[in-house]
Amino acid sequence: MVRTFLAAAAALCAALTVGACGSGSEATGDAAPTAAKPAPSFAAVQEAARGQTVRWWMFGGDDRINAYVDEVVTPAAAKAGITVKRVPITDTADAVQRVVAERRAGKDSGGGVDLIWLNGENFAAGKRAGLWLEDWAMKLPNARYLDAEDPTITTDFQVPVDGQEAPWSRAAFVFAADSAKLPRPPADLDALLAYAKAHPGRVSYPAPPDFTGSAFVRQVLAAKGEDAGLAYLKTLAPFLYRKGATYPKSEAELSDLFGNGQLDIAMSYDAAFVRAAVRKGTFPKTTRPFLLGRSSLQNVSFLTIPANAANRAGAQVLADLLLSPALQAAKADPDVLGIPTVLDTAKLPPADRARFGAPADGPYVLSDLGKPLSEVAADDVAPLEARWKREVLAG
Amino acid sequence: MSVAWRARLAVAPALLLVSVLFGGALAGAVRTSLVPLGGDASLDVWRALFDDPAFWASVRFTLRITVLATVLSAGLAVALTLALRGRSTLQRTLVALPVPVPHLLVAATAVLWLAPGGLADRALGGLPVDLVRDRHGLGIVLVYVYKETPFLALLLLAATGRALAEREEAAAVLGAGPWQRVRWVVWPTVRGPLVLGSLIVAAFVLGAFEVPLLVGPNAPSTVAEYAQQATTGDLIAGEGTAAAALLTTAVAAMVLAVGAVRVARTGEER
Repeated sequence: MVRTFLAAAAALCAALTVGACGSGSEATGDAAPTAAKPAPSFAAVQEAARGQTVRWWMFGGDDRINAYVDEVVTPAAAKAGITVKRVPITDTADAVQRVVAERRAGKDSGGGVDLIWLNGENFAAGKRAGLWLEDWAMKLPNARYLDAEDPTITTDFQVPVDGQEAPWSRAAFVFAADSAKLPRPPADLDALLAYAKAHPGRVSYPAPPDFTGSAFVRQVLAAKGEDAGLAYLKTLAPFLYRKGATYPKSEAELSDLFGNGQLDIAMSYDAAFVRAAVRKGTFPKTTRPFLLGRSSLQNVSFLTIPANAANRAGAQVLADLLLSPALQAAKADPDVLGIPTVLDTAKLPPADRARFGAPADGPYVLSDLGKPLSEVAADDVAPLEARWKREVLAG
Repeated sequence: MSVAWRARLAVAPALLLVSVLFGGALAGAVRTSLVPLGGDASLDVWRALFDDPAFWASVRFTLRITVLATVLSAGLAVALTLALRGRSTLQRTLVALPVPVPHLLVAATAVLWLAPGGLADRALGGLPVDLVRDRHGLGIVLVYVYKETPFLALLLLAATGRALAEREEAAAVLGAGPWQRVRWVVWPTVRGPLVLGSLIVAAFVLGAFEVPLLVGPNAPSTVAEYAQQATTGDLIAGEGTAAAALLTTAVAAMVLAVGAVRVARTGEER
């Protein structure tokens, strides 16, 4: 019984305790503090940033990204006089909820979240609620290397970015199979269905609302249309692992099943995941990435700054640094992360362009990610997941 | 100072802590469920919650798990108590071993062994029954039965001491058979602690979160899982939904707690 109270308490006492101490400032007005003021020149921002500690809330479940931040980003930030404090979270929603709790408590400045790595629903929800610092991202010096016409840069799950977040990473949804067992993996969704019918129980995908499972469902829906896509998944279900009665709960579980040889196909929204898994020894060395149907679901993930952040200047300088050709090139290097850059390399000076070398290649990374399928609108993701649950899981 | 006042003073620190921590949290939850971020107080969240079929599916699922886990644990605990009466301390200790093991550890071990891709799954090339991820929540019920049966058995064993043995002897001398002794001597002794313990177990399972998260099915979810999913589904409005959903379990748990206190009181008076 104590635990039931705790369940209620754990989720909500944060809101209350902050509320108790911050209620005095509620009367001072609720306008975003910096939105109205003219932006100072970036040199002034850099000056203000010196000595600040930027608390960067980010998904902490990827060892390679953590290592990149700790070993590449942190030393580079130190040169600009900024200390990076990585706050690892299991779900990006946690960071947004923290900001919501602060705002609920009337805390309009001095907030505990300086920078968040996010996209999609998390950004859209915060934008709707007016949580983010406005009109800063395109003023970063390194933003001049971005393609301002590219819809993946100017919109985030179809929500206009409006200078409230700076792009950081590009993701593409790829599949993987063991070339020793499956030299010619299914070429498209219909071939995947045929494969599952011929080999019942050898294919599965994580159940939405898991991040990867939800992306797989969106990939199917993007390729086939909403109703036809769900009908396709329903047809596929009885031929899945355990006849579709149960789905893996996460990408990690799916990867385990693939690594054990219990499933024939793995998938991830990280275009370089095969390389990482082979290096870790969890996938066979003969594993190769592939695309279903010459296209892949792609998105860009961004960095946003809460309007009430305590270290807004430091956060902007760090976001600019993360967008710099040097750090973007390090991230795109297959030996570091192998994540495609968000910069338009054609706009870079020749010396910087050379850093990026040839597009990622080698057996574990696809050089051609196919035609990009764009993400659905952020607000449609949760209803899609609910529909999948109703029609595919229960049906 | 009267005895009653001294007793009240003695529990004051505990009462203060509970009312500030839990009472405060509950008040915060009520506020979150009524006042949306930057909006005015309304009952919209509650209306939407009660109109959501997924919420009622979670309520049904939670109730089913709670009833099954409680009834099975209680039945097994009675059988275990009868079997263990008069046995050595060592045997009793062995039975009590699962009590201090955290629920999370039991659930994680179950996943490691029994989940799809788990050790048993790989060794045997597929399990005949799905315990982990079973749609009816079999795995969740089993984890709670494993944890709560020894807990209840301990409560019952504490009630069945030497005094009970003496009363049974007296009954035997008066000509009562074994079944009659259980019915008229043992049962009235263990009934109080059994009902009290079962109410505690039921209130505990009502808030089930980490065990179903690990070993439960993709759907349906328990009420606590529903609340968690509400916050990730809609970051802003989801908080209110989560607060309202958790408040319903909190109220149910409090009703059970009041029931448990009543049972304990009548036990004392007897």
